[in-house]
Amino acid sequence: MSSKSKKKSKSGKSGSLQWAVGVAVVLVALLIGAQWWANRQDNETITRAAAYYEQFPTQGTRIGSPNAPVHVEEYFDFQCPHCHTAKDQVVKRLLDEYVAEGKVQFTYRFFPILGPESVLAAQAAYCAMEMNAFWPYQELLMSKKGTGNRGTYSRDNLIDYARQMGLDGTAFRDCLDGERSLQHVRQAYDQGVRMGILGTPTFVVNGQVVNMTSWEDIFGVIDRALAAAAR
Amino acid sequence: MSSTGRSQPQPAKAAVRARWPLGLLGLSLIGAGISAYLWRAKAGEMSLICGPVGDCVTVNASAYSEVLGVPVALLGTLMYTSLAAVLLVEWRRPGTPLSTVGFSLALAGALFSLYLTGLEAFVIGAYCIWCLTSWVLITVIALVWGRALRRSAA
Repeated sequence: MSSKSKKKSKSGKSGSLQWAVGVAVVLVALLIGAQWWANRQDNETITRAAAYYEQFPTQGTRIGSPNAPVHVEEYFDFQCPHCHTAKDQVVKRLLDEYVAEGKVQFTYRFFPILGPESVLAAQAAYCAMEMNAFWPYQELLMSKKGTGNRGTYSRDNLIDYARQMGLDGTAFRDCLDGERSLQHVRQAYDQGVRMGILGTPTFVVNGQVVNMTSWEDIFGVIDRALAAAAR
Repeated sequence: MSSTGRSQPQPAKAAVRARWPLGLLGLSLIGAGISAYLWRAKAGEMSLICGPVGDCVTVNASAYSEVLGVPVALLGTLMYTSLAAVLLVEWRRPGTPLSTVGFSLALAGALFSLYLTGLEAFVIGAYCIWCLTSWVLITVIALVWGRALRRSAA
């Protein structure tokens, strides 16, 4: 190799080293930016949810006026993908158009059937309920759209979500690890079984299980129940 | 190599070239093991043993333990495994362009680990002994790799 081509090779190596440092810096900037953006989304979800649910009267997993003529219940599992869809397609509209106007009182019923993280998430939601934070907490859990017991609703993550919301992490952990929350979730599940619930999401209007072929069906049933109550 | 046709044996240089990728390969495998342990613990499959230093459970569950829903520990596992593969290639066939890519990845890992360690100290308020160990490992890997590349470029 001539000294000229040797020199060229050396400067090429030095240039690629600088290039490597540049790529590393850009990669780290992207990672930090993505993490910052995702955490900001979580904080926005928490803030928005807290403000949104403040407008409703709530008691535990119930939301809306206790004097509402129609009572709608949803048996759900935090890991059920159709429950995530139902949240967007049904529950949101139900709250905005029916619960907000005092026509419907809505209740979430725990029915964890999709594995250990479903049970843990339900227990955690129960603990948030004990701390008067069920509604914003379930909003945060639902926004994660965890499925398949892949760690989204692991014990440690659930405690951290509570901390992110400003709840007492130690008290929350004690509740989650305690027998009380598990007992509550078991009772909720048993109640669902007694009701003849076979899967999630299942909606119940004034005590009657609704057989749905589309998300729209539930609103037809509710409108008929409202009309019957008005007679 | 000079154009005179006679090459002189360079035993010392050859020995140094042969050793550093193997050493870093060992460190990468240790790093992969630590990251995989943190990743599976985050998924709830294993319990974390933090030892007397810090609170690795809090750190591994914090909002900063994920990037867009992907656990940082999983990213670490993938990074260390990739580095181990590149280092194996570097050991067998020194001086390939892949080595520069590997160094870039290691440097990114070291810088991101530095950022995460800063978060532990100033934002999360808890330390994770496994994460700190990984930070030391990846920093050593990046420094040694960078030094080796600079030497070959000098």
